[in-house]
Amino acid sequence: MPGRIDIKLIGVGGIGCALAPFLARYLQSERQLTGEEVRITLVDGDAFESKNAARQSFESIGNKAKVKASELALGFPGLSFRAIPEFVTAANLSDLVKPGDLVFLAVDNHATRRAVSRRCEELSEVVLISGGNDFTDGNVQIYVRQGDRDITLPLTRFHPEIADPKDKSPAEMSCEELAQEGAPQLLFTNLGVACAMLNAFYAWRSGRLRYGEVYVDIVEGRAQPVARAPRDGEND
Amino acid sequence: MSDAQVKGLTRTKVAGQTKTQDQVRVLYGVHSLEADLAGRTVADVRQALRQALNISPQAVALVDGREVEESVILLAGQELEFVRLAGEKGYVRSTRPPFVRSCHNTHSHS
Repeated sequence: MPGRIDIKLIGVGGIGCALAPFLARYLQSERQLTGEEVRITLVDGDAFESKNAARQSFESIGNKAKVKASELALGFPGLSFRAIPEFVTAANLSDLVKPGDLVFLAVDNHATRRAVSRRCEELSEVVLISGGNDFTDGNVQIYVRQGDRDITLPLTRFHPEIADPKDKSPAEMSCEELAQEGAPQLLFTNLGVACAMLNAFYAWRSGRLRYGEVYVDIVEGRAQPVARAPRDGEND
Repeated sequence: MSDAQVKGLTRTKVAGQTKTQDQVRVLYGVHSLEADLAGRTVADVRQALRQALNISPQAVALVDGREVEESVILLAGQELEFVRLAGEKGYVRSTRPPFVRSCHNTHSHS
């Protein structure tokens, strides 16, 4: 009997926009072979502005999750798309991330990463693939839980900047703080990180995931995977 | 550690280069190198490579995947990783220009 895959894409900015159409194309193609039911939920409280067009592709102005979900639904009729036009908050997190989900986290702040990682720690089965970048480099972390055990480590482990974030999630910011946010980003770095996230997804899906984090540097032309496995006793 | 020693540490390993018995592999982000570091402490290596690799003082040190204190002495064949901070926002770390954008936060603000 065909299975079902529930995917959440949290953050539809530079990385999320790069990732979404390729993820959808792959899953639609796979669905034709497996009959697997695929539902993709896009989550973002931000609105697309024309000045984002250098790195982000939207066909109209409006909430990013809604606009992108509509575009994808037209392009990939075999899949189901849903939009949640909200930022992640403590109040909505348990509704956004549920047991068995596969979560692509493409946000630009550590506060949201910590919140989502902690939510995943509560679940018995979940896959969280989180990507972020600076100007020409970035990283992808893959947190897998199966059978109530960590297969790889949460985003906060070995990352004090995420465990104790100095930033705020967009939902916590005032308009003045949001106005100070945003900095030049490079489309190619967004693409590189999105690609690394999709590669990790493919490796996991095909049962060949051998790393828990991968670093990408587009100037150096390098990617460096590293293991992030729990040590004896860490799951107890 | 002298400048010459630091240069020795940061030299990229050439394919086919013969390993010596004292080699330790060091990772930081996409960078990796192998050098004769057995007998040195984690703190020694962090200090030696801090500028060359721009290692954050916050970066956690792992030896063979396990978090360690700075005073730990490295053994031949071990792998030392300084965990690079996660990418955040596009800016070069510590130089964050105040670019202005209009507000579209759908939540109420104080």
